[in-house]
Amino acid sequence: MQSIEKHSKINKQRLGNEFYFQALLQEAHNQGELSALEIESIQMQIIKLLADSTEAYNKGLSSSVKVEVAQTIMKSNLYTIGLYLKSFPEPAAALDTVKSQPLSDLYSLGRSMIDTKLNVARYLYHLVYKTKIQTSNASYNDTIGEEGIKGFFKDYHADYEAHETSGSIDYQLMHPITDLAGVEYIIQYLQNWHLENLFCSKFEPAILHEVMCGYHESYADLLVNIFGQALQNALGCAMLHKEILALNLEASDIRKIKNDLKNETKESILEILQQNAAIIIKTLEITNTSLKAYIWASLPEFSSSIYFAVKNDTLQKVFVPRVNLTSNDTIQYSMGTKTDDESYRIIVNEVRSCRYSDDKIQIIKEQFKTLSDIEDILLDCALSESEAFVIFNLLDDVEIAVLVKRHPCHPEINAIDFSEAEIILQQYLDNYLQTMPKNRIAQIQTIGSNIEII
Amino acid sequence: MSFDLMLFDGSLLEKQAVSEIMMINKRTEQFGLILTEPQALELVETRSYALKNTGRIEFSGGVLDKIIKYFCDSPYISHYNYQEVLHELVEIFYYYKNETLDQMSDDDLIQFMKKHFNGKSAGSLDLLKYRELEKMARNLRNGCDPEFEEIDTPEAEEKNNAVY
Repeated sequence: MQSIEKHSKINKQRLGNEFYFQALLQEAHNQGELSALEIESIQMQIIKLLADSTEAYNKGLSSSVKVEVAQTIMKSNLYTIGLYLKSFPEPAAALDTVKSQPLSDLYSLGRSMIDTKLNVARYLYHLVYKTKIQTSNASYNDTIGEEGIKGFFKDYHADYEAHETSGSIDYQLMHPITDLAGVEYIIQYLQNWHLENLFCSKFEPAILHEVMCGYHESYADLLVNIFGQALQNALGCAMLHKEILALNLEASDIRKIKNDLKNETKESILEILQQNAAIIIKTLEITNTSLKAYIWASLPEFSSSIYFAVKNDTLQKVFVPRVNLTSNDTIQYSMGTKTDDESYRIIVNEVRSCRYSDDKIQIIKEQFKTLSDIEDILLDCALSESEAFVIFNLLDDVEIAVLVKRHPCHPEINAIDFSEAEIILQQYLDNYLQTMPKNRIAQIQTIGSNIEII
Repeated sequence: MSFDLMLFDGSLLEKQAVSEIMMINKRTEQFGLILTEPQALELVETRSYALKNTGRIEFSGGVLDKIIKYFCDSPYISHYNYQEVLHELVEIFYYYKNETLDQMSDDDLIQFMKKHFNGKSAGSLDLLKYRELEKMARNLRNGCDPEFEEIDTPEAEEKNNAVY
């Protein structure tokens, strides 16, 4: 026996995802599925709900609000109701619910769905954080940090601004999210980002860094997508049967790809990309079906950009050679973690209260293990030159080179740009270097020129 | 189907507000102050006008009867100027809700208005609006106490010390 389905004129395709409730009512109104009486009743309920929310917003202390505030609250209420209505498989069922149940009830159901979705978003953020890649791209690092997605969890007001996406979300994903708002947007953004992280984590961070430097040497400051570039290079490597994990494409490789593709159409390029994407998925042992789908979904855009790049002779902007901006003998030096402020303050006070230099040196030797702390102590403890020299003697050449690099002696600009303590430290270091043999000074200078302090 | 707030029909609220004002007549008549139904309706219309002018929206009544209740015993209000003063006070109230960035509750603002209308302004609505309330709003926006005095006189200093 066949099931009987209610025929509805509402076209699901025409209902936007961002503000579903408004779109549903608009579409139902256009299709004549809502009577004038029903529309009036819904409008009255929306106003009643807004009045209640506004009263709660004002905590009963004020009877009026600015129109913009009321509009934001109303949008938030409608978004929340829409969130619940989206859970119905068909718009007709959602519309029947709107007609038969009070909107305040639908709002309550939507509101509890937001709480659930917030928990989902928190879990996804945890996954993204766990799989984050090592990169110097500021938008990536900032979006994952305190001011970014974390800011969303801090500032999101589900009661009055449920449709807003607070927090600074700058990192550009391969697939931008355009038709969602509020917590739904965040969930989709985090899901996509997690998939991108899973793919990028297959590669060495240093390799990704070189690929991105090949895209632009200042990529750290640009709003760029790392996944997209990595996948494009991986596709290029797969086309040339090169090692995919190396993502290494020379200029000659890019010329070869151009020659191979110059007579292809957009559709045939897409087919080639699909074949090579399958190779990448197999080689990198990608089993996550969502990630596979995400990769597949990226290919049409790539095929289009490759097609036009071949035509315009700009393929080197799509497939980029790896660029190593730093020389091979560069030393990356970490200053180490700082002691927490409270403990640091206690120790500094202790050092400053010591009468004898030996006691000061003893405390510093015992309490501080990182160069970061030693540097702070040299700046904060008003040590004499002889005391500073004893501290310098405890350090090796690399550490001295780091301090010299961070505090170079510039007598002509000192007075303007540096604090008094910094000027004194610069002078101590300069004097200390002068006590050394010339070959050791040269060695320290060489180390200093090749060192990168991180 | 529109979701524009400007379509919000406040006629129901207006009727409710008029009946609330008429109820307060019982309380204000001891001071010789009475509003007729058309006068009450005019007052409600002034409220709507003030709300529109200040870009605000109100979903419940209550402010009009609060203003009447607070001000009915003012020595500067008589049946000669009662209606006129109420119209002015309603407009001033909504204007300063905006100027204080909604940092002051309805009750606190009306109380402040009453205190200074009966006090320093001596019944002058202009002094209340352009001097006392202006100063109070500036204080609030600067994060100071509403009663903070900027003038550097011994009296002002004494008052400021009392405030903090």
